[in-house]
Amino acid sequence: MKQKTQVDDIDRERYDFRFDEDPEAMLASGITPEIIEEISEEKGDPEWMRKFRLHALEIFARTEMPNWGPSIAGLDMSNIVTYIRPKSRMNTDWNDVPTEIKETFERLGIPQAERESLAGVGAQYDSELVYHNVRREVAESGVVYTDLESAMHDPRYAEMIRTHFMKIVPPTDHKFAALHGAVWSGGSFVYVPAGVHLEIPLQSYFRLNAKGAGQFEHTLIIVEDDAYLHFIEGCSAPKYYEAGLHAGCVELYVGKRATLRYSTIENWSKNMYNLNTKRAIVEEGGRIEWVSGSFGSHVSYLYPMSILSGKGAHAEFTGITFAGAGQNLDTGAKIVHAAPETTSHMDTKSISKSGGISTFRSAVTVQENAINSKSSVSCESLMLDGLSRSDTIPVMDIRTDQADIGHEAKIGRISDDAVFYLMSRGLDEQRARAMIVSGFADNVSKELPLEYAMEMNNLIRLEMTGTIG
Amino acid sequence: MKQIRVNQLPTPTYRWLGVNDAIAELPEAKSAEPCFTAPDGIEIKNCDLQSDHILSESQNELSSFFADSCTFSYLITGSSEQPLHVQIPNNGSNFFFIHAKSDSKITVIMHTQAEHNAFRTQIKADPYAAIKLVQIIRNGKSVSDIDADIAENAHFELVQIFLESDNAIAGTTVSLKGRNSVFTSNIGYLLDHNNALDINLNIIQNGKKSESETDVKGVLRGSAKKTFRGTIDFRNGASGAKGAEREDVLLMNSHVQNKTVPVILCAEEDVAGSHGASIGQIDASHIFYMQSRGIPEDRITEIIAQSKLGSVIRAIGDPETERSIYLAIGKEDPDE
Repeated sequence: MKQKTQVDDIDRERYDFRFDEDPEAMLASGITPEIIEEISEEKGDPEWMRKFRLHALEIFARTEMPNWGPSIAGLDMSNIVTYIRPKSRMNTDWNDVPTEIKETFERLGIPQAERESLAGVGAQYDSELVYHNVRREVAESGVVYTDLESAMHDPRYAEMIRTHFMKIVPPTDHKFAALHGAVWSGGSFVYVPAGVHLEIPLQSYFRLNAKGAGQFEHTLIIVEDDAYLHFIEGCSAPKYYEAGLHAGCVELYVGKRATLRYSTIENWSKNMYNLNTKRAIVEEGGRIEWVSGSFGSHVSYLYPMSILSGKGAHAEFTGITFAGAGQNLDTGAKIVHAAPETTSHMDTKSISKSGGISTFRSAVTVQENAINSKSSVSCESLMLDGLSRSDTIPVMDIRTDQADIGHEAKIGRISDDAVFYLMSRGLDEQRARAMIVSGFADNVSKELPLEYAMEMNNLIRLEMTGTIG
Repeated sequence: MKQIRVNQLPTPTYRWLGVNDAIAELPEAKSAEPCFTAPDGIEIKNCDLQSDHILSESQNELSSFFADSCTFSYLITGSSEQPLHVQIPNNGSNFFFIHAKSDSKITVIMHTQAEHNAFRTQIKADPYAAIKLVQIIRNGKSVSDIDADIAENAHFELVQIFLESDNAIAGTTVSLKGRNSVFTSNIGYLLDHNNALDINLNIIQNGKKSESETDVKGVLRGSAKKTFRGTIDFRNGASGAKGAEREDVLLMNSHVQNKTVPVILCAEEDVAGSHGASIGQIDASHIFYMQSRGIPEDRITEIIAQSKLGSVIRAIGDPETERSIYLAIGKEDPDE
C-alpha cells in the first residue's frame, strides 16, 4: 500500500520560548493621534518627524486595505499595541543587557554569531534596540552602523536621515506603509562610505516578545559608490493566541557600481501578520541582491522591490518560502527597470504542506527608456499533499521593444523518476526523498554564509518516511 | 453604449499594474443575423436561452448581458468532418451554443470584420466528442466570450487570431470536468497602430488526468497594447492532470505595451503545471543571416512577423481560411 510522504513542520522550539512581559513602558492599544503624539514624545522626535508621523496617520486613516492577497480580517488594529519599551536602554556590551533579554538573544545564537562571523550586530527587543555594536576596525573604515533614532539626533547624520527616510517607500504607498510612518520605532541605520568593501556581514535581529503587539522597525541603508555590504536580517517571536503585527520598512540606497546583498531569514511565529515593505533604489552599475527565506508568520505579504534607476544596474532575488499548517504566505518580488541596459533575475522556490498556502507573486516592469534591458524569472513550487495550495501570479509589463524578458514556472510534486534514480545509486527511498526536498531549497542556502545556511537547513527539519502516494 | 467590467483575473494582484480586469464597451442590441455556411451533418436552429435551459452555470455580468440582449441565439449540433463557417454581423450581439454529443465532431470557423460587435459562444462537449472553434477577429471593436464544459475523454480545440483589431476583448473559460478531457489552444495576434487587445483565458481542471496546452504567439507594432492573462487552475481532485502554457511575443516598436500574466493556481498535489513567456525583439542573428542571403531589412522584419503567426494559422486546418489570413498579413505568396 502506498504511504504519503511525511514532511514535518519547521521545528520552532528554539524560537517559541518566551519570558514574562515586564516592559518599562507600554502604550495603550489602537492607533490614534494621541498615541502617535505619545510615541513621538517617548522617542524625543525632532519636530519634522512628529509632523511626519501625524501626516502618515492621516494617510493611514483614508487608505483602503488591499483588496488582493491573503485575508487579514483576523487582524484587529484596535487591539495592537504599537509601542513597548523594554527595561533596557541601548548597550554596546552584552553584559549590560538585562539578563532575560540577553538570554533571549543567546538562545537565538546572536552573541555567538557576532563573535564568530559578523562585523557588527544590532538587536531589537519589542519596540527598541537593546544592543548595537560594530567592530572597531569597521568603524574606523568610516562605516556607520547604529540605531536609527541615534542617527536622527546626531548632527553628522540628521540631514541624511531626513532626506532619505521614507522617500522610496512613501506613506502613500499602501495602508501599512502609512501605519509604519506613523508608529515606527527602532531599526538600524547603516552608512558605507564610497569605496569601502565590508568583507564580513552586519546583522540586525528583531525579536517581538510581547503578545498582541506590533513591531515597526525601520532599516535605512546607504551604500555609496563602489562600496560593498552584506546585511543580514533575522526575526522571530514566540507564539501567542493573540494576533501580532510586523509592519517594518526597509529602504536601501545603492550607489554607482556599489553592491548590497540583503539576506533575510524570517521566522515569525504563526500568530503573526507579516506586512513588511522592502525597497531598494540602485544607481548606475550598482547591484542589489536579495536572499530571502520565509518560514514563519500566519499571514505574509512580502515582495522586496528593486528600482533600477541607473544605467546598467542589476537586481537579483533568490527566495524560498515554506508554508505549513495555518500559514498563508504571499511572497515574491517586484522589479522596475527604469534605465537602459538594466538586468534582473529572480529564482524562487516554494513548498506547501499540511494545508499551508504558498503564493508566488511578482511584477517585472520595463519602462520605455529602459532599452536593452533583460530580465529572467524562474519559480518552482513543490506540493507535498493534497490539503495545501500553491499559486503563482507573475506579471510582466513591458513598454519598449528593445528588451528581452523570459519567464518560466513549474509546479508539481516530488518526481518519481528522481527518486528512482537516487535509489538506483544505493540510497534508500527515505533518504532519496529527503535529499530531493533539501536540494529544492539549495538556491537559497548556497547564497548564505555557511553558518546561516546551516541554520536554514536546521529550520527545514524534514523527516521523510515511506513512499509517496 | 454599455460598459461593463470583464476579463477579471481569477485571483487579483497589485492594483497599480492595472491587470485585474478590463472594461468592455458593448454595442447597442440590434437585429443582426449571422450568416452560416453549413456542411452536411451540421444542424443549426434558433433557440431561446431561457426556456431551453442552455445558459451555463457560471453566470457573470457579461453572460447576463448576452442572455438579456441577444435577439438571435443559435443551437449548433450534429457531426461533420467539414467546418461550419459563421460570419458574425456588424453591430450585433449573438449567442451560439455548440453542443457536440457523444462521439460527434463539430468544427466551427467564425469570421468577424465588423465595426462593433459582441458574441458569446457556449461549448458543451459530451463524452468522447470533439469540438474545434476557430475565431478570426479583424479590425473594429469586438467582444468575444467563450464558456466551455468538457466531459470525459472529450476534446476542445480553440484557435483565435486577432488581426489589427481596434479594440478586441476575448474572455474564455474552459472547464475540463471529465476524466481525460483535453483542451488545446493556439492564439495569435498581429497588432499595429493604436490597436488594443485584452485576453483572459481561464482553464479550470477538475477532471482526473485532464490535460491542457496553450500556445500564444503575437507581434506588436506601432503603439499597440496587449494584455494576456492565462490561468491554469488545478482543482483539488484533478490528480494526474497536466497543464502547460506558453506565450511568445515579438515587440517591433518602442511605443508598444505588452502585459503578460501567466497564472497557475494549484490545489492538488499530483499535477504537473508549467508556464513560460518570452518577450523581446527580433534576434539580431536572424536579421544578419537573412541579410547575408540578400533580403532587405524591412522585408526581413515582415517575414519574421508573418512566420511568428505561422503555427497558429496552420492550426486552423481549413486551407481557404488559412490563405485569407496569410493574404491579410501581407504574405506575398500564401501557397508557398
